Amino acid sequence: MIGLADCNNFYASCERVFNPNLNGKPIVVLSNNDGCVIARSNEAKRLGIKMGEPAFKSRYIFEKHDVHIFSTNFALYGDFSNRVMSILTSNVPEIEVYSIDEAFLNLEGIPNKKEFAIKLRKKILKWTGIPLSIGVAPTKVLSKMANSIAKNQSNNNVCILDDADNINRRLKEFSISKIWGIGFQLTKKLNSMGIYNAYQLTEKPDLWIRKQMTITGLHLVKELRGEPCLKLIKGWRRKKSITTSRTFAYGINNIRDLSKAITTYASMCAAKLRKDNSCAKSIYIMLATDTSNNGHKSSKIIRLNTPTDDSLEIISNCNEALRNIYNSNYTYKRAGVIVSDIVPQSKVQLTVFDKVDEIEKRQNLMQAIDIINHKHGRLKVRFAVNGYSPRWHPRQERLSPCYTTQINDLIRIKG
Amino acid sequence: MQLKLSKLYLPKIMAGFPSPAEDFTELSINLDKLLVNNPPSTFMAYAEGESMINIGIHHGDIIIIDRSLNPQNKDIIVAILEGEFLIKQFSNTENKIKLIPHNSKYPIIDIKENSDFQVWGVVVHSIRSYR
Repeated sequence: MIGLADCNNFYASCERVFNPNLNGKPIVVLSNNDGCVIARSNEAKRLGIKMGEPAFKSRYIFEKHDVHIFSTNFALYGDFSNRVMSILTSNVPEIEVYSIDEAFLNLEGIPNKKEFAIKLRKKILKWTGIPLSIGVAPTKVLSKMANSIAKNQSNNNVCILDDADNINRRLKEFSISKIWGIGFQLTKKLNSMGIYNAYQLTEKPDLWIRKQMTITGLHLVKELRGEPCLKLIKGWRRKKSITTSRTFAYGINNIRDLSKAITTYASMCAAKLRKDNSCAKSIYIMLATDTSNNGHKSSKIIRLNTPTDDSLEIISNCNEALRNIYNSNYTYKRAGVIVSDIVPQSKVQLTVFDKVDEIEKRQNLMQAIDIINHKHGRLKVRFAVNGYSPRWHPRQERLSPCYTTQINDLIRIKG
Repeated sequence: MQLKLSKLYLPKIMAGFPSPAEDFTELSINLDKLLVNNPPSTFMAYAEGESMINIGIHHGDIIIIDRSLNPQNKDIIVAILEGEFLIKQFSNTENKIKLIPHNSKYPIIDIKENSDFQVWGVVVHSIRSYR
């Protein structure tokens, strides 16, 4: 049996751990640059605030209902995610971390799954303050369905689907648009063929499904029938690429400010690579003007001979690429750096042209930078090109303190 | 975050006689291990105010809180009372819960049936710096 553990309104729940006053009150979390709503508490959902909605559109509702607004605090959410995942890991034989707030659990050999799930949920809530839902079923796709049923239960947020009659009854009530892996377009197509619920899909012959939904779709339908096709991907996934991009608070029309921004994103990508013990072989930089009036976009890919996690190397490549694609006729509103072709650091093969002791020296420098920044705050030690001008910084006006990762941000409690 | 401190700080021994202490090298004492018994449930906070000074918690001390523990009588706890965080001593006798300060200038708080009260975690250590 497979379990899916999924934190309830994860970002809003993280904000609540250190703000007990916010229990029962509507909370939204805004995207980088405070542009759009990317997370909502149940109370905010009930007010009709939609996911992805631009914040300015909802300003009236925010004010009228006293909605608490936060900028994304990924340091905080990341720390809580690690806590939840580490508790899950030590309680089940294996887990697949599927996203920041979701993990599949292998529950083989656990006798009473319902009792186990209820206990595990209670433990995580007590230890971290984060509520979650657990769905248990014979396959991954069914465990997703069980989880969404669990989420809508008010009593214990645990749902076990283990007998065929119960599963079939639930499949009949489950709209195909909610099935994991079935998107908007496919839903429309299947609806036009008279298929509305998950059960109808399981009754179609394999050949028909393969024709309409490809082999991926067939695996999905087999999983709905209770036949496991998707295996747990053990351990942490190594990321395929790392993106750091931001929308600027103001348009930028000079290469100096752009270079500061690009350098910062490049440093952040490099630090993330080192944290994952990875190196990247390709670097991609991107510039864009305001997309609302016929936006202009330009980008460049740099391929390295040897994969790297070296900030200096990534920064200098990005800046060279920037000089290539920068056009002084445009006012830029967005920029980003993506590193990809990621390989484990241990698998990097040096070419004959690489100078080994140079590389070792650099690695020591990077480690020193990471240690200092971890101790004193991100980007405290940086390269001169990063600059100090905050002008291009994204707006994050409602950022909560990094309660669990920065010593100066610890909560202050009255004795 | 895993930081490889050793690579930075340990001097490289290039050649010569091996150190006679080499076979006896142990890992250094790890403060993390001493202070954090259960990392996923452990949080830190700064103590403020004076109400716990007689038990040794002073303004500006860092307290270490373990949420996985169940509060026993006389434990120091972080509680939430009417939406507000507090550090106090937990007293649970004859089915009555009280929050005890350790400074005679502050009153004992009785927790009533209808109080909005919750134990947030148990304080397991406090750290004070002298300079």
